[in-house]
Amino acid sequence: MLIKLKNVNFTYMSNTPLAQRALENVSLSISAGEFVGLIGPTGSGKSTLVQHLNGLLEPLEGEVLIEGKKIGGEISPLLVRQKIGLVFQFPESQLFEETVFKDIAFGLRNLGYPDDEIEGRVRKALAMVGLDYFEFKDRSPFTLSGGEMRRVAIAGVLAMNPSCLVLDEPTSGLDSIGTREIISHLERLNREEGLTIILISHDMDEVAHLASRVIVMNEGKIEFDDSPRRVFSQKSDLLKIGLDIPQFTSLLFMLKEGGLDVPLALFELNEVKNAIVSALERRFS
Amino acid sequence: MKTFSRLTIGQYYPGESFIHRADPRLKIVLLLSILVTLFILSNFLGFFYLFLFFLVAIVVAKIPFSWILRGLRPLIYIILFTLIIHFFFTAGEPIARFGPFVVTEEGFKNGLLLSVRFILLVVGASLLTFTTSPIELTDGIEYLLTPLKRIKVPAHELAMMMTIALRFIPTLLLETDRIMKAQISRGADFESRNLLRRAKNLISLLVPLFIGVFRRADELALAMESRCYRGGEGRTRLRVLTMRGKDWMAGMATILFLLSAIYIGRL
Ligand SMILES: Nc1ncnc2c1ncn2[C@@H]1O[C@H](COP(=O)(O)OP(=O)(O)OP(=O)(O)O)[C@@H](O)[C@H]1O
Ligand SMILES: [Mg+2]
Repeated sequence: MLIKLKNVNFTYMSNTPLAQRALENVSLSISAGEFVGLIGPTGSGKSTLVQHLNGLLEPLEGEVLIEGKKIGGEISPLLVRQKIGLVFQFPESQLFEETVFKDIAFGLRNLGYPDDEIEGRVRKALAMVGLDYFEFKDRSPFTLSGGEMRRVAIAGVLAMNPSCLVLDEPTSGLDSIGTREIISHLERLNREEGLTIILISHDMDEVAHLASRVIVMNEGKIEFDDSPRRVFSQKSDLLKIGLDIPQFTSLLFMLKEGGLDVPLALFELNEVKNAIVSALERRFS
Repeated sequence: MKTFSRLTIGQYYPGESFIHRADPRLKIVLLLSILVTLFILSNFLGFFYLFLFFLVAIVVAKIPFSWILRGLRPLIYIILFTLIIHFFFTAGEPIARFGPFVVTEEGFKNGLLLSVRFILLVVGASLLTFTTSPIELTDGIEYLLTPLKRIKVPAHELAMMMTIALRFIPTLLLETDRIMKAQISRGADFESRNLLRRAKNLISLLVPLFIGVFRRADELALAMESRCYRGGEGRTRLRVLTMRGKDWMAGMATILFLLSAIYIGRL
């Protein structure tokens, strides 16, 4: 088991009048190779949860295990941060070096890699996010477009060669081309390189399309933890806690209410088309 | 980030008490008079009077004592330092001896007086910030500075700068927290024993922070200009400050009390 949380509780500013409960008895395990979508309304504790995965926040109660070793004791913080790569929301705001190369190398230098190994890793990380090494390595990160900046920031985390990549709303604020670029690279990293990915997102279509497992958080608790098909069939429960369902699922729900016999939880354009066509054929034949 | 969230000094403690609703100008003027009084007083009885006064004010304003105490906590070392310096380095009648060090009576008394004065000063200032929102505070300061406009003191601009600075402190703290966490996730170590490494890591925090500040300043200036902001000239106010009858009375009572404290405290 790559990541395991046991009964984690967390409160911001505990023991003050401003205390704010953020996680309540959260338990979950994530194994290598999974693509997990983490969704939930604003303030439900998603960002708090992922900051526990690399030891930025320590649980008030309960424990977090990485590869069976407890964070804060059995495994050093630096090693945790190497294994679990965390990409924050708007990661481009962390860029600070003069060149793209130096910025991506920052994490590697902190981990103590020798210079000759750094170059290869930077090159690989840039390739992973689809940027050309020679075109970008000497450019200042501040002259890039928003989407490129964000991909460079993600490369800075990928360069550390994590076993698990955690991304907090990686596509928010990007245009559709920038979004599609990042999504397609995440998809490929998971499928071809076997990278475990945990993706926080407010875009249900994105999650339904990418994730093999969806975790729904609400008010600090895990509400659902299941396959996208099962989770997104809970239309009324999701709407009640303020979440949406994917567009295709909405469409299928409407057709079903209108009396057409279609399955509900399909997320790919082709699947949906075929389901509707065959339902129509059944109806009119 | 723990240190940031635990600091109460300078914070606003929202409430509906009489003191919260009093005119900010009155509160500022009274605080200044209290500060002057504190420096005139020279014996413990006078300080005790002021202490009682603060006690009543804290109870009326319904501020928890834990907040007052937490506001004082960062000052413990300064107070200890003052005490020690005075205890051991004032000439006069010896009353105790620790090895080569001699505590004198005068030193003991002066040290205590100074520390008490310092503590009361901070409590007084926190009472103002606890009961007055930053916006009221800057409004009040602007009004009080207005007469100085004649001698070319840019009262409105100063107040506007203060309002903006105060408004952005929490934002900056949040931003610092976020960038620090992002860099820690890339293996940065802000508590490293190695000073060179620590300085280098600090750059990874400061550069993004400054870029963010400049971007914000730019956006804010643009937003203000697109809403036709052009300085204080001819500007009307959303909140007009008014001294109510109760405010005048409380002000008079406080001044009388301070005068009597000075009378007793100087003997
Ligand atoms: N630094 C902080 N100090 C105090 N409270 C916080 C802090 N960060 C988050 N909280 C509170 O903890 C709760 C969970 O916040 P969190 O950021 O984990 O939510 P989220 O699910 O990521 O929301 P969003 O979708 O808006 O990013 C919220 O109630 C929030 O107000
Ligand atoms: Mg969040």
